[in-house]
Amino acid sequence: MVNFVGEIGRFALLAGLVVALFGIAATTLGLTRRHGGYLASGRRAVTVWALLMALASAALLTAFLSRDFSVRFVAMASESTQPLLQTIMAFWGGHDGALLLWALILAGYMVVAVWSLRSHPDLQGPATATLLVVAAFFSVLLAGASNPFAPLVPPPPDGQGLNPLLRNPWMSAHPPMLYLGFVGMSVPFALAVAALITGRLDDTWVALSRRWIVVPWIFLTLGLLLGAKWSYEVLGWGGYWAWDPVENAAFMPWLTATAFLHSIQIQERRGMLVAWNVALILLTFGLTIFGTFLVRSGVLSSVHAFAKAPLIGYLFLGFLSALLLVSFGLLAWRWGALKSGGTVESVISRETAFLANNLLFVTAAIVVLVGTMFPVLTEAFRGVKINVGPPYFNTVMVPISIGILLLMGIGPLLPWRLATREQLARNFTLPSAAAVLGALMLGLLGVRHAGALLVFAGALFVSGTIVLETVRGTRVRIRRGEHAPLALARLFMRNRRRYGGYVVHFGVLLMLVGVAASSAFDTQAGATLRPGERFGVGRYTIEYGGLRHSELPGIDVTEASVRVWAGARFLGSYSPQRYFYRAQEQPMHHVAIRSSLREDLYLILSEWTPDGGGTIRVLVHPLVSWLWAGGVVAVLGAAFAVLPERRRRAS
Amino acid sequence: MMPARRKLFVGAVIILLGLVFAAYNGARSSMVYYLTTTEFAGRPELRAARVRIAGRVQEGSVLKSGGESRFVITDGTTGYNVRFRGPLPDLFAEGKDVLVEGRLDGDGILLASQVISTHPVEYKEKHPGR
Repeated sequence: MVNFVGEIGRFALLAGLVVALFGIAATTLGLTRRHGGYLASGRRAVTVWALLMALASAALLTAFLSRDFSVRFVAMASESTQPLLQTIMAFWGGHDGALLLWALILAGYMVVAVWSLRSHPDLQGPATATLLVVAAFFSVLLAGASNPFAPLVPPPPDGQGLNPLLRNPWMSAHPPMLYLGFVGMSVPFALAVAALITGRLDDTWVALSRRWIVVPWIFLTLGLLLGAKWSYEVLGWGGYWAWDPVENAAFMPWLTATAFLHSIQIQERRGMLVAWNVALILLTFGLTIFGTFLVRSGVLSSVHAFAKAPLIGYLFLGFLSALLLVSFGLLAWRWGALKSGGTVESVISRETAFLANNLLFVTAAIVVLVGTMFPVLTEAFRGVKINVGPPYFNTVMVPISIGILLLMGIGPLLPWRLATREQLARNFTLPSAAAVLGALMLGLLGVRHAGALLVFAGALFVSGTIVLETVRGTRVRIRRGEHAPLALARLFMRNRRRYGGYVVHFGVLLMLVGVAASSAFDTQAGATLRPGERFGVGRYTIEYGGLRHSELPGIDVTEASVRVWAGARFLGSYSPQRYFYRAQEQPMHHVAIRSSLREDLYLILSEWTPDGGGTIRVLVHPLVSWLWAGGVVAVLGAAFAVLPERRRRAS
Repeated sequence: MMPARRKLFVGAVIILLGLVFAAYNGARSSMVYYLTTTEFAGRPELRAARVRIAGRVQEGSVLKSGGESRFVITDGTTGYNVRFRGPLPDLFAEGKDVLVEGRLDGDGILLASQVISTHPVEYKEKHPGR
């Protein structure tokens, strides 16, 4: 039987490579010969490439839905008993499909970016060419070493099934969000390259880049959050972040993109840091490619860096080096034209706050990079892999986070150029008082952890400044005769970037409070119990009620019934479970979590005995829900800030 | 008086030095040598160091009693006895790949602080042993 779907997929991917290469050639010719017809061909190539990637994705999805196990990737990542959602998720449940999803998302970004650049014809051409180069690279991978349509002969009766770890609803959203973030960084990269080629890093470029980097920033933030949530619920150790290379790979571009979102404002207002801002964008995109390389090549997980690195690892490294060489080469070539327009005039000024922000964010990215690559570096220089653990990351990232937290409060209220003593007193007396009072009260209530106290006080300080700013802005409008609620709403609607930014800051400080509290004050305990026995953890009493065994398709389920009291108050019955996936011979935790604003009670069934005894592990993490809530607030704030401002009617 | 730019530069250098110092301390306190069993045996200078050993759980070597597990980790050539107190990761089984983090005691037994299963499929699970 001819494998129809596989043929279509392979054709689309191969044609995609040809079209991308053609598009690069056409656009380059159009640019060098100033020929509009060639440039139009290049733009059409973008559309055709996008259609081909959509066709390939549709083919792969069809293969999954029709359980076509003659396609190797389908046989690897799905099995016939898998429910619909998991079958769809299997699309990105493995390397080759994930790359196709990457290409599909790139296709979407390219079409929108090229279309929206029609009003900037000088940037449109070079940006199109740059995006097509990225597209061609992924086409090479997809048409060759990572072809998701590679056949499997003879087709097995059933597939291997999706990795049980990935069979979690959060995994339906985490990879697409992360890729929307990663891939989206290619648009600001293309804009930066285009601006370097044309030599026009002016206000147009600033406005375009800012908008085009906020969108992927939002997705990347969501992707990181969803990944943390998945880790928290699925891995069964009660943590959400472990400085794992995979996490770090996604975190590094987030750090540099965040640095850019701040430093671009100095360029906007004072004409400073032009070259630095370009460098941040180039770096951010480079880090997304580097991150994909880290995750995909297995360089860090195996004992020896390149012993088993597949071809694709070298392809990624080659592409990354070429990319950085060419783009930073362009930057060096334009260096003379990128003179800063202004200089810092006084130490206590908004400029200093932004510079400090950038120092901290970029240092954080470097620290994470060095920690992640430590085993590779030591193997190269000393012949033995040395890993560094979370203590390395934490000792540096805790002071950096506290510094950033304080800057969130100080920066927005410092005036540009020079701050006077009166301005400082007017802006910071109340927030500082709130912070000191809050810290004293928490201290009296028994909070003794210095780092956590500092974070809580800092959060109060920042909240104080945000409230102060909002109240002042609203008052001005009330004085002009608006009603209070309307004045507040208009203040936000008419200054979206500013107040959207404050909302993001507020979200971030909720997250920092959540992280500080849950890592400083976690309690855990465990006990092996007979049915009916109890044990206490903090203010909770846990009663073990026994085991129940049942079956789901392909899965054996063991479930403990647990009843929980806080003091004398009955909180409810919970059932932490263990799944055993028969085909994969893989056990999995299904923890039970009782989440509240105050703390999470995290119940794990870790072991049991044949006669019905069970080992229950209990973790109590305060304020974990603040982390998720803060993340949502930050994402909403960023979305609000980037929504187009309604044009004022000309009066 | 120093111009603003120089003051900022000095401030930045001080902050960076502080962070580098913190990073150095953090790295020193959490360094773990990552080796196979045979390589570990060939590096006597690392006998006292904290190590992460990659290998396989030898068939028939797993013994569990009272919350403590004992097994042998091997790469086929060299093996080490391992003792570990705590819950073993989900994917731990005889014949499967495993990472053991810990130190050798005086009798040459690897006292594990962490046992991590590795998995051939991508998206390796992260920290099941904690």
